[in-house]
Amino acid sequence: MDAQLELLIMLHDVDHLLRESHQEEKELGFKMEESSEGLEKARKRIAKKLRRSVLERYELLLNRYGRSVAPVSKGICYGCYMALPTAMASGKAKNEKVISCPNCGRFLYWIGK
Amino acid sequence: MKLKELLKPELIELELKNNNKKGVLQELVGLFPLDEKAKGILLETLKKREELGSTGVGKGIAIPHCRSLLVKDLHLVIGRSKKGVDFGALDGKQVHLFFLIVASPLEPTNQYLIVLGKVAQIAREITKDQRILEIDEKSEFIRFLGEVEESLQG
Repeated sequence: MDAQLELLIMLHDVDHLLRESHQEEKELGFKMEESSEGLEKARKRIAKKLRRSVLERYELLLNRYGRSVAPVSKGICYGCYMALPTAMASGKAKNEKVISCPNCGRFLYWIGK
Repeated sequence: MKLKELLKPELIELELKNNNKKGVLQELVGLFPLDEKAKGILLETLKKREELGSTGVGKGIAIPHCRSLLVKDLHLVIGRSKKGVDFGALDGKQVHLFFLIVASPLEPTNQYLIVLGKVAQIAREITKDQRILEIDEKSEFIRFLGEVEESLQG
């Protein structure tokens, strides 16, 4: 897997954690720490390792859609639910480089199992 | 969704070897049907979730969980440690049973929250006696949890 894509997935999952922590406390009763400072720091550490252009795009997509990376399954981008062009869907370099959906622009991750 | 649909022998470890938080999470993630790279990322996300607050809910139970792009479906992995693990649980007690739940962030029916709630409910029920710590066969373990689920529905 491409190292930048790996970081994008980590950043995506951390952002999800930060977003859902209130819901977990309110609806499920999990006790959360008062501060999420540690996680915010971890987010910064991951973001720092991303190429500037990739990070800027990630933040832009995050503001626009609330989620910047979309899984791909059976040739469908699960960000916008559009079929990817055949050449792309059958590409051999899946997850070996950072690729964006030509329709919605989200970064793509080909999901395995 | 019934819990027993998620219970699979290959996703259950009745004799966890590790006795610390990091090691147990690693052992549980090791059971996931993912490649090594993906397992590494998932482990990091779970560790970060623990930083927000321990998922050791008390009475010897922990429910580590997160959503991750790496999985397509909802997965439930169960681990048991007879000796117990220091997991930073809310009541300070050792944890014996781990229910690890990982779901896709896109899961449309939001079964994740339902399953989390159900696991918490079953966990409370099974801690009423020691039986869950004494079962040696995975098939029996699955059957037992299924029965508890049924009894709660009834």
